[in-house]
Amino acid sequence: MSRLLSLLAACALLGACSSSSTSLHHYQLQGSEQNTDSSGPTLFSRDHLQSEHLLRLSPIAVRGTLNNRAMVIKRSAHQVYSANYHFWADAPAQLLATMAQSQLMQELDKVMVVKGADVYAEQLQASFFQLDVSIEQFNGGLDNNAEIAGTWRLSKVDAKGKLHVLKISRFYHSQALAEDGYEALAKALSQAWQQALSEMSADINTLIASA
Amino acid sequence: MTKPAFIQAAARISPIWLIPLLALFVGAWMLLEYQLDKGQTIYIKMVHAEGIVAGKTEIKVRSVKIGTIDAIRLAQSQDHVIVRAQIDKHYDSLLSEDAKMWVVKPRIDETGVTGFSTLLSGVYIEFAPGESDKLVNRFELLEEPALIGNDVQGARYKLSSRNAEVLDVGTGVYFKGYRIGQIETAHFDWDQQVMRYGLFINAPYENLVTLNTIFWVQAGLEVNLDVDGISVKTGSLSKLLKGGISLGIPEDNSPGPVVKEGHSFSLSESYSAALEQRFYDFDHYLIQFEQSIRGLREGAPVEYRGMRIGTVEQVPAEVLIDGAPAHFGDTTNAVPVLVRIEYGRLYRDTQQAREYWQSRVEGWLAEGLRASLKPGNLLTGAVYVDLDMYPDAEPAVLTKRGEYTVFPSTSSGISALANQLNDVLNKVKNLKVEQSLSQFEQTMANYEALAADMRTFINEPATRALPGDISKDMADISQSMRQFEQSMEQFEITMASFQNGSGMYQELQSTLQQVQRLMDELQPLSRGLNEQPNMLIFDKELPVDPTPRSKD
Repeated sequence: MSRLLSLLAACALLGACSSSSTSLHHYQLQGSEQNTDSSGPTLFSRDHLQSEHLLRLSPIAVRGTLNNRAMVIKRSAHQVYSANYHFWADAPAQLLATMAQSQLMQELDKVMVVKGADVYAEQLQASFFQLDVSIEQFNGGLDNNAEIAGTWRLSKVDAKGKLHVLKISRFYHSQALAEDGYEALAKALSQAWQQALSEMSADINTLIASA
Repeated sequence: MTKPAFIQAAARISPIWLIPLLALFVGAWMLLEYQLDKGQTIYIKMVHAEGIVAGKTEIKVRSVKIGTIDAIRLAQSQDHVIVRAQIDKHYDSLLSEDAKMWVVKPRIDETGVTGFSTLLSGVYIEFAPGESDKLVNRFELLEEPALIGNDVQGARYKLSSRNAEVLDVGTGVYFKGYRIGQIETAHFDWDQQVMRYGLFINAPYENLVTLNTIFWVQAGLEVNLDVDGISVKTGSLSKLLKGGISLGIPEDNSPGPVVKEGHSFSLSESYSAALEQRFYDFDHYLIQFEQSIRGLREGAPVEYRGMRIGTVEQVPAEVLIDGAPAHFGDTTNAVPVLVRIEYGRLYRDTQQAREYWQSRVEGWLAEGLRASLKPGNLLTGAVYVDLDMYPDAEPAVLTKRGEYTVFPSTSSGISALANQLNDVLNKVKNLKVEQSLSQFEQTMANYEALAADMRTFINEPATRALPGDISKDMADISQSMRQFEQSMEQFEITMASFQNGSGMYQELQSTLQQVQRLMDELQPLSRGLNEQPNMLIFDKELPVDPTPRSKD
């Protein structure tokens, strides 16, 4: 009797283990420098002699469900859906920050863009600029589109470590999907973020020049 | 001429009578043969005769037929059935007094399926011959099959359990997970409120049962949560369903001599409980606490600087001293607590430990050894008895109260703090505050007079015309203040950099990121489990994602 039962239990366990699993898909954002199709990615560098200003990009805040690895699409004006099988390759905040750093470096002449928390005014003995971005929408929209929205804030940190806010601005960008599927959604989101960054860098350029 | 007649007497008995005689002889011979062949008649008493058919149901020993049931009738009292059976004459010698009988019918239990063949053939009675030389012809049928045949070698022991869960007859006894015996009998002693078990340990494993052996209930499923994580241990399936009794020798203990058959042991509800309950060599002490004993429970540890040396037995101690309960004494308002000092906890050799303790305890008391209550768990408020050295304590010795030895105590923790606070409050109370206040008032009045004098002095034209030196000094002072302010700002910045850039900060940051990444990885699984808790066991999948669409 016990043999029979243990056999059944073993069968059940084996059955559970061997169950087929639906495959998972992982996506990443792609910046503009990799989109230039012919000559491969343009690599970027800037040294301290070329740069007049330092821009510190604070860790990007991504809110709520959006900060999951699962991709998110909108179902109605008030409902979002987290995918079960389609994931970002890294945390969205990391992906967005990496792309923001490279694009801002490209578009802002004479500005060294550093990422993260590793800038200290008192060690530099000089002032720097600080960009804080918070993302509220980063998902597939209702209208066959991808949307990204949020707020950015540019501040100047003086040599004593005091922070002076220069501008706070909201942004919203929408990009229609080129084809069906999550890959197209990832692409559209990349493009929307590119647009947002371009707009941001133009603003920042004037602000830094006038500050 | 006529012939003379011969008269001859006819034979008295006709030879025809030989035939009935022969028949009688043959009949008698057959009867004798039958009687000689018949063997013993036995009577079996049983509660009911379910499945038993007269003339058909057989009695078997090891599947060999030794007899047949030939009559069934209800007893006069109508509360049982008497069955008569004829035993083959070759097997008369098997009918010993301690033989056992039971009905073999299909049974399903955790050990498997038995008696399956009787589904078609009908039930039979299994007969297990005994060892006694005394033969009988009356037997009683067992309700359940005899667990252990009379020919199985082994030894029987007694187990009593006061609070362990109730186990069934047939439950296995395990040594390091290997089955070496089983529970043979189990009954509840209502008088003592103790569950009493009879154990049968198969040969040669009875040699494992020694004086220091402990018995505990082995749970089928053991879940352990500790610093290493969660560990789940399961035994075999029958152990999982029925549990079992484990026996073993505590680590660092010698097994001691092998005990005789019939030795009594106690059964504990778990291994840790069994370890706690094996200190049989102890002395009672009464400790009188001059404070509330709230939070002290029976079974709480008695420790000496963190080492456990005993157990709290009664809270409060229910001892009568001079006919009155000791915890409502006339002479003292201390609450007595009865504790055991368990010598086995001091040292492995209890005899040596006892001698050591008893020869030294007076000396330790002279040096300031006292018992006190210490909080063991701040959340539950549980406290334990702690022995420690208090060199400032007033001298004390062991005293007698009734039949108990009283161990001196000192107040501790909150109550000690409360006592100190009380002292401070008393001192405050003794301060002559009113007097000080009136003095203060007087001083204030004096100052007021002085201030008025100063004002008139300042307002005098002569004073106003004082040289500009003072204002220059003031300018110097304010300059120093500014410098000081700058230094403070510099200091502030230095501190900030220290906080942000320190190695500790970096390390914390990277650890947090790692944790975050791990959480991200686990998220889909936890979400799936949330929606379908059985998805790990059954082949379930999460619903397919909707596809984002383009406009075309």
